[in-house]
Amino acid sequence: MIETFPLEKAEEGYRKMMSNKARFRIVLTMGTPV
Amino acid sequence: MSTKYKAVEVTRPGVFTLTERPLTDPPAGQVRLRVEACGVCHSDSGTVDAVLPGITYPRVPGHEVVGKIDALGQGVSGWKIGQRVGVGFLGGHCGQCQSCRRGDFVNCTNQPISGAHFDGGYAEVMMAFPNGLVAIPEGLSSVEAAPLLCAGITTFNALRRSGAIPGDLVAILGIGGLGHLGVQFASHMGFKVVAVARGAEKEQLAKKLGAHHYIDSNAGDPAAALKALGGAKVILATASDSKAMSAIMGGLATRGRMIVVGAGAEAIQVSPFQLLFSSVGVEGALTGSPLIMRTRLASVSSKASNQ
Repeated sequence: MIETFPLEKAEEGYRKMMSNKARFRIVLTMGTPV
Repeated sequence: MSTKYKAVEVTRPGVFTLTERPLTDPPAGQVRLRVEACGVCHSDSGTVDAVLPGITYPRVPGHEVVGKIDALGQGVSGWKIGQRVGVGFLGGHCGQCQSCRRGDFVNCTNQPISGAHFDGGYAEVMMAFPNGLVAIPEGLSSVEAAPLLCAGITTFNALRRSGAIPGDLVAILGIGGLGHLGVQFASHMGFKVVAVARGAEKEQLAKKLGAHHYIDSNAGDPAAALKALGGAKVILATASDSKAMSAIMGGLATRGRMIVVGAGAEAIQVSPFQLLFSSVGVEGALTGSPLIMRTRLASVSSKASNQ
């Protein structure tokens, strides 16, 4: 229930969250291994 | 190691800019993190839209940050280079105000908010204050851990301190970023869990997450539906919708509490009659201290509770 977005797409992730479309948490990743 | 790092700044209200910044040493008393993951939280809008007091631009949002310490500022002790840590909404308490002197660090009156009063985790690098850090246990990925640092701790701590005991009816209002975690925590805490959301779409999921009952607040009066189940000892209001909060107040059992964790600016409507004839209340709960975060993280590290 986590959707990841690369840092470069932070704005897209933020807009998706603000429009109540995140299912259910959006997490930005920084290109380093997680 | 590169001498620059990428960051996403809010340069003026509503405007995001991807920038490169020079890598600098951490100031005295702070640590530098190589960020691995950062959750996107509704309260980031406090920074993006300048809703929180004291916002200046440019500012990097982000307060669900997991990263590895790669440099220690002068005077920092108790944390090691290479250690994986998290930073939540509250950036680090002052230790000197009245609240801190009572041990109530969450309500420190001098506490900076991460990603609002100093740059947050929408970046490859972030500076942080040691007393705002929480160690991230092994067995929990950075992506999994990030949402637990604000959404997770907020719902967990509110339920933990709610006074509800196993068997009590607890309603989770709103099944979103906070609510989907709240349902799971409430279920694991042994409460009878009622998930409340608009429409039937989320019923199946809420039940899969551990809800015993589901109320579609579009299908009728949610307060009456909650009363029909016996009335809730606690309503955890996670949706940032003050009207929905007002509409469900009447579903509290006697001496019940609505605990507000969803952030909205509109007034919640409640009449004195509603409050006094059943001794109910409305209160707020703000996130949790690093120690509580650590407790929470340790308890989920062996199982992925937000999967």
